[in-house]
Amino acid sequence: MQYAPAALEVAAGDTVVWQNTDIVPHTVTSKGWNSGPIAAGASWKKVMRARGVVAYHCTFHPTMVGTVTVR
Amino acid sequence: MDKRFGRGLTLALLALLGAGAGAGAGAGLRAQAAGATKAAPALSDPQVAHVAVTANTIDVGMGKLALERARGAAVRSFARTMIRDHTAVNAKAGALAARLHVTPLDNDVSASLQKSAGEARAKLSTLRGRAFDRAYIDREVSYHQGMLDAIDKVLIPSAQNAELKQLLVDVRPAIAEHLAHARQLQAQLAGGR
Repeated sequence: MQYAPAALEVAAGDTVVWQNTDIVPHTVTSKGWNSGPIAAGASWKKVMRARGVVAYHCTFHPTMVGTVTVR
Repeated sequence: MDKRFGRGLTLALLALLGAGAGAGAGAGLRAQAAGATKAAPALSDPQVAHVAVTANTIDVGMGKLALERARGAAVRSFARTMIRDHTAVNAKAGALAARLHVTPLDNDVSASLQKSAGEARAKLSTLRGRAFDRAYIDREVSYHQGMLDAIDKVLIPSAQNAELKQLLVDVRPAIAEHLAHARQLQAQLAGGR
């Protein structure tokens, strides 16, 4: 159970889509923003504007962590 | 730490493997481990489905008990995740069983799970607050370890239908994550946080 890829690099202004291919709900949660529950089979997207490294995690499953590096 | 909670699953499975082989538990385990010589499955698909649904339902019930009695915010959050995830898995299992026209069939493993869950529940129901938190999380650690063992040693090897087998494979990472999550909490609670 993990984000794949756990480390992603994108350009500022890119849209990142998280697809939940698991059979239980997950979230994508960072400082200042939170997807809320993403159901099995559903997806959630966010435009990454600010440059830098954004760490995120799943509020339901604390062992699930990831980063998006915005160039 | 009370190590007695949650051992029922592993013990029940060992007993069943032994009975299935018509010999002691050791012989049953060897037969299961051999693999190369294709032994008869320990459980039929309807029995596998019943064990899976029973195991999920038990943990949903424990999560609900935890929301009544647990104190720590992290423990309560864990309990909500157990209810959410095990309910989702059961919905998926139920839909698959219906589509495959498999009627879950009660069996000795399910009965054993229910018996040990009843005992754990009786003990947990005498506790509140921090004492409950510790006992509940200890139970969840051993219960999820038992579930992983059951998935690997009995349920996946027994499942004959490819979709049923795949569902068990797909569920396994969630169970492993729950175990890791419970162990994190167990360490935090032992540290007094």
